[in-house]
Amino acid sequence: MAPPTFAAVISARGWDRLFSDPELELSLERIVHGDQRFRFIRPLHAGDVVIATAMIDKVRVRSGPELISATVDIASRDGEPICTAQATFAHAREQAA
Amino acid sequence: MKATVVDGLEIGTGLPSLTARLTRERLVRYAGASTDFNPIHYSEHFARHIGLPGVIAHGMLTMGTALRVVTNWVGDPSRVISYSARFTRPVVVPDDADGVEVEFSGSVSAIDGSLVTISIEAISGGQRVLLAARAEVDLGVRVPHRDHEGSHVP
Repeated sequence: MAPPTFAAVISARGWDRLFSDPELELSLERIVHGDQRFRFIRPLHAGDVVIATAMIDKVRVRSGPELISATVDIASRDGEPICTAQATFAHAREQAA
Repeated sequence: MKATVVDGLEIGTGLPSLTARLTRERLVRYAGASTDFNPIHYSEHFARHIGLPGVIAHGMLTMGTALRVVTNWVGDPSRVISYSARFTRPVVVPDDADGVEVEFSGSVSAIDGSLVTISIEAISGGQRVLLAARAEVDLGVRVPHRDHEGSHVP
């Protein structure tokens, strides 16, 4: 059985898709993790084959960094929900002062 | 479920604490294990470029380590049903042999039937590095407990 927060490693596959999407113009090296929330429906086990679906929930743009809220749903191939991971990332669009 | 965990459990009951030492080597290992290769976690150049005081630990490294307070206590990690935290203050990891220490502790902050909420503190250099870190565990058995006034909660 995986430790609960191992779900972040699976979620990272989804986050990477966001961070590397050319349309979003994000740079990994300017992203800081702001908060993280997990809901665990069942643990991940060795041998599980899962699908991670990433969604951008909200983007807030103020004078400082952009705040990006995203949710990754982790489910089995049959659609059985396993974990939901909600995160907020701060992205420094311009060079920090 | 071990009865020892449930017996005498009430709001404020403390869990055994733990201390972790984070070094640059630890961050490199975590980057590889987690696939989070953001260079702010190994390069002073990139960290300072976005205004950080130096190389910082991965938030998930701190958050994942913090949950060990709960999983060590409850024994069975599948009993953890939710976990959340805010990364208020970055854990700056110096480029030396000692790294930085983070102290983790937890205490019961809510009891609702078999659901027990643990509030976790993570302190480094006298500062809180996680805010509102909470894990909910389902102990699988109703937890008899007393409320703040000392009377039994049905």
